[in-house]
Amino acid sequence: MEQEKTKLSDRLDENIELMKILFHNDGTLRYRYIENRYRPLVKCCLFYIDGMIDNKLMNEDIIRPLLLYPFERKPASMIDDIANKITFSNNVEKTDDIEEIIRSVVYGDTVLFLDGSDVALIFNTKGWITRSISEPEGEKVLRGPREGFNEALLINLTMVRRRLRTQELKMEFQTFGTRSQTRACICYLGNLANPQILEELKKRLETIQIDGTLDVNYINEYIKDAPYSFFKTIGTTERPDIVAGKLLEGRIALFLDGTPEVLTLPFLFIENFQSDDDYYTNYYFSSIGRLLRIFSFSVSISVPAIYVALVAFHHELLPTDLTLSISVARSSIAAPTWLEAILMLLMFEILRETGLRAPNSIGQALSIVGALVIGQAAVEARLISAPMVIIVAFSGITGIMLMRMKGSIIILRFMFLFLASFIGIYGIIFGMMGLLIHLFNMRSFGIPFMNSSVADDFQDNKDTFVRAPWWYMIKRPKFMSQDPVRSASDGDPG
Amino acid sequence: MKKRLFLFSLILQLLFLSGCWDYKELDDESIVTGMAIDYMDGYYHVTFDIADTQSAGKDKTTKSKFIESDGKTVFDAVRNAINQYDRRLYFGDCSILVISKTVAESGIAPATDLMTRDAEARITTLPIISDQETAKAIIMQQGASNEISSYKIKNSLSAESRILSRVPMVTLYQANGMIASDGVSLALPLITLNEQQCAQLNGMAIFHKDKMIGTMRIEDSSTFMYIKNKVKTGLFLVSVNSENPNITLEIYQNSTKITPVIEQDRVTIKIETETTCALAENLSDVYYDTPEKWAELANTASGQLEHSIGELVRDVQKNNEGDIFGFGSEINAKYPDDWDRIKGDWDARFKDVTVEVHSQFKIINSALDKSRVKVGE
Repeated sequence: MEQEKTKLSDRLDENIELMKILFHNDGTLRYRYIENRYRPLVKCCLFYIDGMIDNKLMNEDIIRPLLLYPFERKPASMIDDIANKITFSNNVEKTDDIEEIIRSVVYGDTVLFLDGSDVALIFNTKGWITRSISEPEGEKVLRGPREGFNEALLINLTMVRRRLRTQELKMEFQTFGTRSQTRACICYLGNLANPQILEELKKRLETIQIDGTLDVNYINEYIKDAPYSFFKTIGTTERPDIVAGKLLEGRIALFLDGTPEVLTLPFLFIENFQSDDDYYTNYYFSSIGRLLRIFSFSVSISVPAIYVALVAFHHELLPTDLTLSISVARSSIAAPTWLEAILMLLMFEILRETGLRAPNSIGQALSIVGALVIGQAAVEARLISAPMVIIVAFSGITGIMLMRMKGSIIILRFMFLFLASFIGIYGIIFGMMGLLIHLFNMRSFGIPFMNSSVADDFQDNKDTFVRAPWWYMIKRPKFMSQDPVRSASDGDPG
Repeated sequence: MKKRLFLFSLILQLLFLSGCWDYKELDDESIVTGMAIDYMDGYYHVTFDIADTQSAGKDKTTKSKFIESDGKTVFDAVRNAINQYDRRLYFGDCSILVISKTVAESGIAPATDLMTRDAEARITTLPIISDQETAKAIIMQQGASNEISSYKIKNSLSAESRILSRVPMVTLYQANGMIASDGVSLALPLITLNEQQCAQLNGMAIFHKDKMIGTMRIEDSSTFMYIKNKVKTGLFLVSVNSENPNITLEIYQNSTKITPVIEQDRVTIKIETETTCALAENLSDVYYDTPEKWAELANTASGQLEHSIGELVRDVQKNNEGDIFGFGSEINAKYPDDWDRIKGDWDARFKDVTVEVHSQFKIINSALDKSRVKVGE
């Protein structure tokens, strides 16, 4: 049922009445009735939400000129004069759209109604308090800038703009959420981003129908490829330097007001293992770090499963000394190996999750309790065997190294353990095959997900398993951008 | 989507149908580390050396525990062991197989058939022959009361082959290969118990096909290793101007070439050895400080090795033990047609074969000192 578009009237008291009805029961809406000192017929009313405006700005730059301006005779358009000549605001809009007026007022703007005009003015007077810029908790680095995004959209955009001072940096605003009316911004470099991907993104964004997008993850789940997979196909980050780096590679970033996280797309599997300070530290060191991360991923998901498979199915694969020591450790343990593994993994996950959510004071005690008491005591009480503690600790710690993938790692770990408990190494092999088939089938906005995870083109691999020195990385990833050449040097450090 | 879920749950059911396949906990099995096979009164009496993991803890090392059982066949004896011990025996780590002389003399192939055929038992097990009355005496040696007896024997054998090269270390699959092939004879280590009741290497057992026909002392078996080109390292003792050996040469490398020559139906075997060694110990009163002295020493050593090899071959020929050196396979390699002709009665003809030995020693250094410790005037 289409509503009749409410129109503004040119009588001030009717407009005031309208606003009061619209914001019925909202105690924070304030209004300021102004009559000009020199011409009392110039009557206006300012509406604003208390707490969202910058009081000083409003008082000095809007109220004061309106009160003190010496109006002589009635100009042709009073409202235009107020907008252009009288008020000291850097952002004034004329509108008669009541929807827009509401949106602006609740965002911190001030709206002015003039008696005799059916058009209202909206002044930018935003002055709400935002969190100060600090290093994001989840993406700490050894070297490099420590700025992180905060919840204000414009501040985040400025952080990126400071790093890419070109007019090619395009920022297209959109709004999501019928009730939340959250502002979002699509950001890309015009001459680098692939227009087809941009097209696809916009198409997918149009399909979002939700009443509130409080976090960028809401949008993430709507637009991502392979929505049932537990791997991410759209990357998130809280650091402006990463966003700038990805934009330079031809990717597209999506900002959302109220969230410090930013989506970057398309996202490839290998990006899970890239960390920001790879580029700010020596390339040998960062190559080792990257290889270590890839190794940790494969180890973390398969170690409990391989242990169970070897110890319970394939004894002949164990060297003799290991067989003897595991046999000694496991004698008279109550639980079978697979149950031990599942219990310990669950315990580890519970401890981790609790440590995450507990307040700091309890968190310290918890880690000690977890490590010493539970692990040690359980072994001494012969509930679990000592090798299992090592296996689970190893698997857990290598999993924590890759915080971005923690969801997928936990699920994969349990999946492989489950398969191994049933049919030993065959289970692991089939699980691996299934996983690889799934991964290689995925695409992220048209780009194959496992692009550059295998060594087919040397150029593409300069930034995957190892990080080549900057003078080597002369091309951008092929698939994504229009302009393939990144730098002018041709592999020569000199 | 529903179809996919349905399909997925169907496939998941398959996983449950397998019923955990052959899930076996490691501590539900007892680990057999060695086996000893005897034959008494029509029964195979098998002794198992089991790693006692139950009573081993953090501070105690794993010891051996012995189980003996009888059976009509070896496998029967294995299964009968359950009477005494509640767990299934796991043979994946079984490292040695001790066989008594009686069993060896009637053929070791039946005794080792189980180990070869079974998938779980490794074919890298080492078969050894016991020089005592029974095989179980060896495996139940007292000298290994605080460790696993079989591993001790196995480690000493592998150290022997690595460091001393006096006795061949033959694995089960190699032994089977030697039994099966025409021109090669099997030789297995011979173990006895010394005064402290510890298992000790005592030479070699020689076989014809798979039946044991004799033994050889350690001194002779060292020479045997030269002929078979199995010497990797070790010592060679030379006597210079005395009855007892007084020079020790440490061998770095040895290569033996066996060349058969058949002329008008007469077979001559040429054995050429080339040994690279170093002067490791000098107990004589000769100063080796000139190249001539070195050459002299090398010649003496060569002569002694040639003598040993020749003596050994002649002894074997005299005792009618047949061709245990594997000259037959060399003839097969060089004169396959002639071999086809003579292989039938090769063992008998072996008596009349002439052997020419030529050895060469190359002494390349003498460690830190040119001659021996100088004794002052």
